Amino acid sequence: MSKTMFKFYANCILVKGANRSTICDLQRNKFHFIPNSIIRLMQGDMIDSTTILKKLDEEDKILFDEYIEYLLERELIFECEAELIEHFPTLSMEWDFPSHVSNAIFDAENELHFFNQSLMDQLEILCCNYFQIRFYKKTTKVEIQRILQLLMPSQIKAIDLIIAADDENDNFEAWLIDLVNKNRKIRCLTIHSAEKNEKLQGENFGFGTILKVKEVVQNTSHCGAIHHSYFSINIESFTESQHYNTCLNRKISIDSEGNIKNCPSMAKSYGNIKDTKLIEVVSNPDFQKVWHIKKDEITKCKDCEFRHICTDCRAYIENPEDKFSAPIKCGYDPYTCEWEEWSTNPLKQKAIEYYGMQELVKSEE
Amino acid sequence: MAVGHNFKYMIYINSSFNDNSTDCVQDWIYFLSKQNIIRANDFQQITSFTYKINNQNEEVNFNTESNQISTEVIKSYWYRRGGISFNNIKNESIYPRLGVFANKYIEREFKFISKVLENCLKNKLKGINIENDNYTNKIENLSIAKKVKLSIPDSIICTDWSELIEFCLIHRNIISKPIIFGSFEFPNSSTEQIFISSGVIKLDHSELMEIKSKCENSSFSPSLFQVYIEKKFELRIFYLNGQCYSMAIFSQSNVKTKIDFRNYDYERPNRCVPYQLPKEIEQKINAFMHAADLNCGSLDMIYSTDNQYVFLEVNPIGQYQWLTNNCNYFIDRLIAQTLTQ
Ligand code: SF4
Ligand code: SF4
Repeated sequence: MSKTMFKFYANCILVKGANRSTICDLQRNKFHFIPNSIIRLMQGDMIDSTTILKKLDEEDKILFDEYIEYLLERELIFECEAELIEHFPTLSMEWDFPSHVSNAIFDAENELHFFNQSLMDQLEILCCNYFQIRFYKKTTKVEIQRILQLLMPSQIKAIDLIIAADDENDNFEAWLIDLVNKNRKIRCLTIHSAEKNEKLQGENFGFGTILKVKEVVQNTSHCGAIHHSYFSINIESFTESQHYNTCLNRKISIDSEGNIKNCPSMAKSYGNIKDTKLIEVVSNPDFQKVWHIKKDEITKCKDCEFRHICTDCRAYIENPEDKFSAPIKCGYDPYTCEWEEWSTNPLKQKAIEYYGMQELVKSEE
Repeated sequence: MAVGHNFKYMIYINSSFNDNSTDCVQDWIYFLSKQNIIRANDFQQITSFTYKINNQNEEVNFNTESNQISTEVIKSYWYRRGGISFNNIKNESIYPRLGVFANKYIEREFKFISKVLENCLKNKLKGINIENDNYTNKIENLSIAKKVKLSIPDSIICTDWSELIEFCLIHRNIISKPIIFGSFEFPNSSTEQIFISSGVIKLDHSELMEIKSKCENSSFSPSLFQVYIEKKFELRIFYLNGQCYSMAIFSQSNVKTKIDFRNYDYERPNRCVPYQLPKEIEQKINAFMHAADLNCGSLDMIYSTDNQYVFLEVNPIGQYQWLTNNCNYFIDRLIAQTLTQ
């Protein structure tokens, strides 16, 4: 091979795991695996093939050349002349976002009583433009209408809605489709406890997805699953994960009883929305502590090649006593590179019991 | 003009209704400082206007249907889209011919007053771009670039086939480019016109001769042609008040791949990565922008196969979302900071 110096494109970033590594292609939103033995030959994001080839025996040379070919073909690396190396800087890992709170979760049984103009005003002060509402039980058309009336004229840009299926409610599904298409702030509506899994409508410029799922979402314990289909491979999440928790950073939530928390699944409440202002809670350094727990500090995750594309969960963790322990709902083992079913892992039974998730685990089986 | 307390320190933004960049910058302004923003969308007609100048001060006050603007309360100004214009007074005179002349006269007057307004905004306020930047002259800019010693492509504006053919013989491959904005006409035959729109068209000598053979006239309306330069990569530079934020774009045309993609542009967009220009080129860009009297713009350059940074053009009010998102530069925040500081 005549070409000598290769460099990774700045948006194709190596993440080294215990047993293998990933190249996270943040521009094209995919990841590729790469053996650690190849990574060891590189210097950071540079591959000096002339020097490397000198050190390898014939068999390894072929293997190495094949890898270079693979990386070139996928446009993960490019040939870089020596004089240009310093002109291709690495991607800045800065993360910033123009909101004090960037996302919120509001939980309800049948009605979201605390959702009113005062709450909307508080969200505006926090520059919060996005939230999710989860109804665990059947709600009414009137209640959904009431929420939308407050939300449509506000600064809110997008919401996600999770509601329970309701066969007794006349024409509920048709009514919902019409509603989603008329109110262009609903990004995704999920109807749980449905008779089957079905996509009623796909997205249209980022809005208007409607899904039906069989899963019964009856309380907070459905949340926090870790799965490779949930990985988010883009600059925003990747950079955020370098500094912050990828689930809880700048998140606030109110559970169905009005308790203000980091997330509805967590035990600690920072006051009730009846008599506490969101901004007081958000400015509390105690409340912000979990925002800063990052993957590089979490047991197991810190050795995982997916750590900067994986969303975290801090509510359900393997050892509830240790705030740095790994999400319990992750079945991945970065030391063996195998995915297994998390809920049947004998080592996790104690924690599953602790969270009272036995029922959920059974229903998922 | 009544000025309430909440009118202090306002930011005036001229944009369009659906401009996403403006929305993003507004989010940052609100997050950073909660300063008041007046956003005027698209073209606004002025309903009343006052300009005052004396030895101490210069000020302009004007109203549109929806806003009151005064340089005494506006702190900074961002021109992005749309614009402000004076009401076109239609002079329905009893002497129709007089009306036509009167309107022409008034229009010319308005042009001058608009300039006064823009200059006053520019002199008094911290700002990013003005409407008049839209009319920056591509050819003049080549001349300015040459003056500050930025390398430019050999270019020709001509009306005669003979000149064009000679240019093409020297340079082998040439491109045709629109001189100003949109499209220009290319006479194909006495009855036919080819409309060449803002796209750039590459031609070699034989292609050029083929066009000529179909063409009866020996001359055409003034058209711009440039040498086609082989490139290693393209550069897009966002410039604001002396700072350059650059991105390299690897065009995929030179990449051979065995992989089949259904939607190439979507699944395999050109690689766009941050780029650090040599200090010397940044200094020249800075000198260029000063000479062109632009405080903000997006510049197109190429890095040629013979290792030259070649200046192509500047768009005063460019799209920068593509650049900031790929390079993680936070340009929305930068613009917001510039307007709020
Ligand atoms: S911390 Fe876990 S349970 Fe809480 S919102 Fe995040 S993923 Fe869900
Ligand atoms: S080990 Fe951690 S980072 Fe890796 S997949 Fe599981 S939760 Fe994500």
